[in-house]
Parts: sequence; structure tokens; C-alpha cells
Amino acid sequence: MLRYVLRRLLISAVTVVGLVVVTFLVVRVLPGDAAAARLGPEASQADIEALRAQLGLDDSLPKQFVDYSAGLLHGDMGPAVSTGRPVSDELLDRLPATIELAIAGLAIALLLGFPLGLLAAARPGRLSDALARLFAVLGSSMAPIWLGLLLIFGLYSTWQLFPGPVGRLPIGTPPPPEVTGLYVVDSLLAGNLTLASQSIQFLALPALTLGLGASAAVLKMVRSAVLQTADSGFVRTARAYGVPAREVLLRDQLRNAMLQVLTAIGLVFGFLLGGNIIVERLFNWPGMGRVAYDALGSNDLGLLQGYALIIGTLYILLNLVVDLVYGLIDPRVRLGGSN
Amino acid sequence: MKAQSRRSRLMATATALTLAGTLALSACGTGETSSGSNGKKTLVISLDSAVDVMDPQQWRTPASMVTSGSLVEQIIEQNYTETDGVRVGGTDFSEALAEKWEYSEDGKTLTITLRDGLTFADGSPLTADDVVWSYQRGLEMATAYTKVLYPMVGLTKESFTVVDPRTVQVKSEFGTPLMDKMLAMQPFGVFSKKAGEEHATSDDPWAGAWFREHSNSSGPYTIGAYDKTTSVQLTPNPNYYDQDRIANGGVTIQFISDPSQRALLLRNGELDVAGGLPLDQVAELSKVDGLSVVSEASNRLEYLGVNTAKAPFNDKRVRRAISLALPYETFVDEVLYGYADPASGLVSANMETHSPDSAAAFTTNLDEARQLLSDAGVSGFKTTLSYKQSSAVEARAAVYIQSALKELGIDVQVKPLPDAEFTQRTIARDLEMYLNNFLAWGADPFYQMASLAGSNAGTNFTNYSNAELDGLLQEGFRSVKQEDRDAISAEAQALLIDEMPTIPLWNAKWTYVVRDGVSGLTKDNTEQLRLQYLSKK
Repeated sequence: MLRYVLRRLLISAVTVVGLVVVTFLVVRVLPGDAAAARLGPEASQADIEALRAQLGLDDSLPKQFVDYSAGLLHGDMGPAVSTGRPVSDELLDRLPATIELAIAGLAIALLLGFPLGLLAAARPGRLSDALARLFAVLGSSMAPIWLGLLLIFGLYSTWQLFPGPVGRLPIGTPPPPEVTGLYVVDSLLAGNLTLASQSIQFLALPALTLGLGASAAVLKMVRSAVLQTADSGFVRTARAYGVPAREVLLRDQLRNAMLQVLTAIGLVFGFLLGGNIIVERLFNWPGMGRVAYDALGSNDLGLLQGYALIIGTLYILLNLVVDLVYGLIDPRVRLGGSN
Repeated sequence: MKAQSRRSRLMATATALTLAGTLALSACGTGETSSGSNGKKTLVISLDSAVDVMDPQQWRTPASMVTSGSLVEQIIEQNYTETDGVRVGGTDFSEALAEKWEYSEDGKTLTITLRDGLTFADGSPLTADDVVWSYQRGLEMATAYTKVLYPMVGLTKESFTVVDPRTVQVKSEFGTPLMDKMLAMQPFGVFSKKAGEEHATSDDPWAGAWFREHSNSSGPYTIGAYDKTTSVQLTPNPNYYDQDRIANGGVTIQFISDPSQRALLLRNGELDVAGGLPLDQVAELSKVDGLSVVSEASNRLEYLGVNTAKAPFNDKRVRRAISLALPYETFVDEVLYGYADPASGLVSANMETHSPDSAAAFTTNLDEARQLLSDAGVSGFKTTLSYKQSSAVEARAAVYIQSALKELGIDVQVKPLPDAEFTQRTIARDLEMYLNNFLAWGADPFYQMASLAGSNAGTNFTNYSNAELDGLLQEGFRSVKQEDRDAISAEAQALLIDEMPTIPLWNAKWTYVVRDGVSGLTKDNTEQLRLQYLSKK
């Protein structure tokens, strides 16, 4: 197992290095001068050149890369052109909001997708299967921006069941004392149930927007993975021994389908972390996606580079976790093959 | 066992219902009104952008200018007159931090005497040292955009002197009425030198980094709370020199990036004032009970820029022909939903020295346009019209321009560009034809003309250069007498109509939507809100 873990860690580390190289090069290849962008059209050439020198933009590409990598090791991603603050501060301050939204979206995706997928797989071709698949088609074909607008219009504007899209808390409400950065958790840790309730309300609509779409992916993967086990020898044997169908489904089929399902959950969570730019903007959710959206408008390539790097690294870590869990739940994986 | 299971289910259901009820009961607290520490009502507003910087010499978004401008007070302030519910700044001024300000006879030396007993928000004294430090900072700090303004009024590094703790002397190379306009702008507010020096570093001698997020206010507000992606709360500054000027108990500026959501939140009572709304939605909101549209003429000019270094745009007859083919009234009615005034020249109708005759040049006359093209030997050509893809107004206008120029045989390809690319390419001056807008602060005609058509101006993206025009503009900047300014400006405007390096299209109105009971919207000479005058019943 130790060898398996070390191998996975090594692969992840190499992938992170590759990610650093790619994001560094992509930003350097794109047109644009960070110094000119920061100082604006009315800046003098002398000021632009001075800032270029200060930011190290006149150095050779290899030197810039070495400096950038050395900075990364100390958590320094350079300054954001649009605000002058460190890129790491701009993004990491927003990471908890993005993670909170992604976790809530994943919870909704699992709560809906998992049982519906099982229901569909339990009776393939029947009405429950058809309805579940219809839900999956609708969920995966509905663009998040459209779904979000629909939810805002219906559940906020028309029926006033949920609060408006103004961020994580009501206007003017101070956040809970920061422990994790997740407002629901921090409110509970502070013993402030009202704030926890408000945090949940403000989280609900953006999480639903993300979660409904993602639940379709979970549903399809659960259904397909469970159905693939239906013709396996162990299922036939269990049935021949008279084990109840429900028990076979939950104990044998689902357990054997878990590798694929786990992969799907990893992918879905990765998507929810990195693919929520539009949802964060729509709901004025102060996460990293919204910072990235604003960075696009202000041509802040350093901030975009930092965003890609953090999201990419999170994705790699997520894959590492999934790989390690594989090893835990299936000994064949950590032993290096089907032998 | 069965009964216990049923009881568990009942318990779970009851818990779920209780939780849902709690959630529902505490949901959607909209339209609540609270009071600030001074007993006056607080307001929630949302502008067209987020507040990214708290430093009025470094701001990058209009909302940042409004917010950061509330954290500093100026030496003098515009006098405002109320028109149609809006307080509009004029060209005369009153004392603010200054007890008096006097020019020498030749207009080149300004002596400012500060009020006695002024302090910053932290209680430290505000003296002549702070004023001079602030003015020097605006000129010398690398990231201060304000430095472009100093040459227009003849100011250099050596212009500022501390005479005594309450007296500052400002020496200019020439006398100009633009000086007062400039000193009344937010970026010329007074910063705390003490705070600046405490937070300065060798790389950042003017404490640019610290002031981007903090302040030691000399203005009407201090920063109550600031979350860069959500909101900023401004609370009244207890040490502000004139508490009566603060008409509210504080202002929360909520960042709502999607303008449609901003309109929705205003409609549902979450906001008191909203700006930067799409004009079709403004037209809709004007019909909603409890809301009213406040709209006032503006000097912000939307224009069609052409690359005068490139054929056939290097021929002024082609540029004039294009200007004569454009549907100016249609822009106002169909593109701006009536919230605009048609083009009347680079110097707009509300600016001092505007030539009334110039408006006649901006009427559609296809016959004359065809004749001009024929005289230029141009029978038709292909070109590209670029604009920022974030601008729905420009997207609509581009289609009308494309259609209008087709009448002259000009085949226009409409090309929306990502905003960042658009900005880069305008700075690189390589676009053929583009839509853009500009506002000269201070409503100064020479500042406006120099910025859009002066040689080497950072915001003249047309490659146009004309020594005669430059000479006139420099003369205008240095003229104090109104009759001289009128004559020079008229000559420059006539030249610009003949040369047409930049084609004015319309002046979009300064427009906000407010809830009933909100008053005191104040437009200063940078066309930004002055928040301290907002009030709510």
C-alpha cells in the first residue's frame, strides 16, 4: 500500500509541475503587457518601463520562470494587475466561498443523483427508469445560467421563498468569526443559528443551480455502473441462492460499481470547483470564479494564471484522494493489477 | 418496534418541517431601513462596477472613484444647483477644507488657507503638510493616473510649498480656470501624510498598497467594512469638518455584477439606488410603482473613432462623409431608449464654450456624403467596426452604423472584441473603426478636445495629429478670460468639424433609478455621485 501511495504522490507532484509550466507559458504567450494594463492608457512610457522592470517582465523567460517558481514555493504568485494585491491573497481569500458552494452543490448532486440512479438501475426499462433518465436528460441539457435565472425568477422574485442574489449573507450582515471560511460551519461553531440559517438560505439557490446539473451526471454514472454488474457471476449466484433483489442491489452490485461511481464523484466535484464561474457571477457569490471573471474583463493575466493553477492543483489533489480511496476499497488496485 | 419506527419517522418529519419553517420565516428580509450612528437613515446602493481600490488616486472602476472619493475631502467644492431632482455641480466653487483660497493677479499663484482645527478620522491634525504631500503624491506615484492632469494646469513637482501649518502655496506655469475644477475633484482630496509615511516602503514610498485598502479619512465617510467581492460599508466620519453635509447615516455599496440582477434587486426593495442599468430596463423600471428614474444631461461622449493613419480614413472627406451618413436621432430613440442627447460636437451642448452652430454638422445628409466620397475618389470599400463585447448599447449602434454606411457603398464588418483585447488594440491604435466613449472631468472643453484629438494624448486612439489644433488647445488651457476661451474654443471646434478625426455620436444621460423617498442625488464635475448628499425618508 505504501508503494502505491508513494507512486500516486509522485505522479501528482509531476502533474503539478507540468501545470505550473503550462500556466506560466500560456500567460507569457498571450498578447498584453501587464505593466501597461496596470497603469492605464494615460501612463508615460517611462512609468511603464519602470513598472516592467519592477515586475521582472524584462528578464529572460527562463529567469522569469525560476523567479516565479521560487515565489510559488513561498506562496507568492506575484501581484494582481487590477488591484495591486498579491494574487495569492486575492484568490485564497475567496477559496472558502468556492469550496462551500462546491460542497453544497455536490451534496445536492449526490442526494438526487445517487438514489435516482439506483432506482433506475433496479428496474431497467420500467417507468421509474424512464423518469430518472428523463431527469438526467433535462439536468444535463439545461445550461447553469438558464437554470439559475429560472430559480432566481421563480423562488426569489416571484414567490420570495429564498433571498436575492447578493452573495453569502444579507446586505450589511457581518460574517461569522473565521475558522474554516465556510459560513455555515463557522456560524455553527460560533453557536449563531440565525447566521447559519441565513448562510444556508443564501447558499441554497446557487447550490441548487450547480447541483441539479451535476446530479444528472451522478445519476447516469450510478445507473450505468450498477447495470454493468447485473450480469456478473456473483449477482447471478446471489440471486440463485434466493438473496432478495434489494439486498443484491445494495450489497453486491453497488459495492462493485463504487469504483466507477467514485470516479464520477471526483470528476463532478472537480467540475463544481472550477466550472462555477457563471454561477458565482449570477448569484454575486464572492468566490474565486467571480474573481476570475472580473480578471478576464480587466485583462489581469496573472490573476487568471493563479486561478488556473489553484483550480488545477485542487483537481490533481482530488484525483489523488480518489486514487487513494480506490486502493482502500479495492485491493486489486493497490496490488498493481487484476492479478 | 413498528411503533418506535413510526415515531422516529414522525420525529424526523417534524424536525425537517421545523427547520424548513425556520428557514422560511427568516428568509428574505427585504427593504429594511436602518439608521446610522448619527441617527440618519442608511442607504444601500449598487453601481455599475465593484469597488476594487480605496485610493482616489489609483481607482480603476467608477464605483471605486465614488467610494474612494468619499474618503477624502477637497480644498474647495463645487456649488450645486438642483434641476429635476438632481443636484448638478456648476463652474463656481466654495470653500471646503479651505477657509479661503486666493489667486495672485496673474492667476499663477494660489494661496490656500486651511480651516482651523481640521482633523483626520483618527483624530490627528490635518495640516498644510498633508495637502502638499497629497498633491505631490498624485503627480509622483507611479500608479497614480492623476499625473496626466497636472501639465494641463501647469503644475510640476516644485509647484507646492508649505508656508505654515495652515497655508499652502501652489505656483503654476500659467493661470487657468481648470485649476479650481481640478482641485474640487476627488483625486485632489487630502490624504494623511502620517498614515502614508507609516505604511511607506522603499519600493512604495507613497504607500500605494496601504491606501488601496485602507484610509485615514478626511472625507465624509470612513470604511466600516470592506469585502472586495461583496460590498463596502461607508460610515459617517465623526471628525468630518461639517457634519451637516452628511445627509445619511451611512451607505452600503453592494457589488452586483449582472445589471439585470441589479434591476431585479431594486425592484424587490433590496436596493435604494441603482446605476449602470441597461437602458431598456431603465425604461421598464420607470413604470414600476415606488421607483423613479433620475436622468440628467451628461458630457460623456460616445464616439466613432477611425484610424486616420490608414487609407481611406486618412482623407478628411471620407471621415466627414461617414459622419453625414449616420442616423443620430435613431441612436437616441432606438439604441438609447431616449436616455441620450444627439451628438453636437466633441464639446457637448452642456459644456462651456460649446459652439451652437456645430450641432448642424451632425445631421444625416446622404447626398452630401456621397459627393464627399466622390470628391475623395473613393467609390466604396470594406472595413471593420470594433466595439467592446460587454456593451449591449454599442452592439446595437454598430448594426445601425453598418446599415447606414452600406448606403455609401461601405461594407462594414461588425466585430465585438473581448473588453481587454479592445482596450489593448485601441492603445496600440491598430483598429480601423471603433466605438468608444470619453468624459473630460471638470466639464472642460479644452481637456475634452485635447484628450480626443490632441497629438500624443493617451486617449486619442485615432493617430490624428494636427499642430494647428494643438496650438489652439494649449492657448485655450492658458486663457483665463472667458471671451478668449470662447473664441479659441470656437476656432478649435470648427477645425474639428472640418477635419472630423473623431465622430461624435451621442451623449448618454447620467441615469440612476431610485426608490421613492430617496433624494439628494448629486452629480459633480467628474459626473460621479457625491454620496454624502444622498438621503432617505
